Amino acid sequence: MKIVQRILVLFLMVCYTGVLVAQDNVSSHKLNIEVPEVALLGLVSENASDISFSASSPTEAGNAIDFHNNKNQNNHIWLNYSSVINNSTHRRKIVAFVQGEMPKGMHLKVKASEAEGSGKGKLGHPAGEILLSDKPAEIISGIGSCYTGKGVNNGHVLTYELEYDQDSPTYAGLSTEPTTFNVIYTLTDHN
Amino acid sequence: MKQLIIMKRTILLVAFIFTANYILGQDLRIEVSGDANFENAQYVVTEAGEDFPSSITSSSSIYLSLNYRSIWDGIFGRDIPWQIFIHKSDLEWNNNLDLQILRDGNGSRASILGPNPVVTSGTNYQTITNNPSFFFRGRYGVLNIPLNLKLSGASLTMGARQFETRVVFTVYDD
Repeated sequence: MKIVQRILVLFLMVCYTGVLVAQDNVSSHKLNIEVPEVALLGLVSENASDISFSASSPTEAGNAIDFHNNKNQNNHIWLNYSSVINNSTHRRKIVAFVQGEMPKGMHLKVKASEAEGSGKGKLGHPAGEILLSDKPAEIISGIGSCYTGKGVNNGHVLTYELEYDQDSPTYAGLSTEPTTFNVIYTLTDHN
Repeated sequence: MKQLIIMKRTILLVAFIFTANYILGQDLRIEVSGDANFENAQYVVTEAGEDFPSSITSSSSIYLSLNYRSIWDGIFGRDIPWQIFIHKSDLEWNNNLDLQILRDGNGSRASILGPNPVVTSGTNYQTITNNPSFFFRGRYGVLNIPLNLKLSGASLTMGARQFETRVVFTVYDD
């Protein structure tokens, strides 16, 4: 009886060893791929991205100067962006503000178009025509993980319009001195 | 007399079990070493509006070895034809990701005095799927066959996430 027990124990030991040995014909390697967060914004234009507004002189005595000829001035500036977020419900936006002092009574408006070109993903939605000031104003919202494509004809084209408050008492303060200011765009998280 | 019969039976049984074990077990043991992760630094978007690069090659290689189990084979070598199959087992994956692999060298012999190994196929990138597929074959034990991985299909649109899979190599007699 003892011999049978010994045989059984030996049999189990050998079988167990056999199983361990047989499993060695497989080997594996774990692979991790980490996609990081990205937030990049750029303005591109075929030419320089500077815009010059100028007023038309009145053709008849008694009329005010006219800024309407500046409508759709240099509408070849494109907003490109690449964005990766880690939460599918989280969104980003693009805000714009004026850096520098604008002449009193002047109103600069900007309008972003719907996204065009080779972009993919959760692209942003334009907020329509926005009056720019020294406070950040949202011009595109709802940006998720996406990219617009690079260069002109990709992303959102920007259209500027300069208006002058004709009723403004500051008309008297107009001068022929050129005024320069910057419009700053920022890709930021929705709060 | 009875004890002698039992002893004979025992010896026979043990011999049978050892033989069966030898047949069931492989003559070569497969091992993977090295690290081939795709680092964060490779997912670089240099200009606004761009997507990730269309494909990224792993910055380092992994190495596959087929070691002899027997000490005797480890000294004198043994002509054992083998073939490697490969598949992946996803832990967190996106179907747009395409993971490819190639054999980037022949490795070195696994025996001290035996002949050099022969390794064929696997030198072009092939997609690793979740079903085992033939990768390459060879003869004799071999150490440190370099393997390179390439990843395509990663996009910004996937979001900031971590993907994880296990690449599984299986050796069979050929």
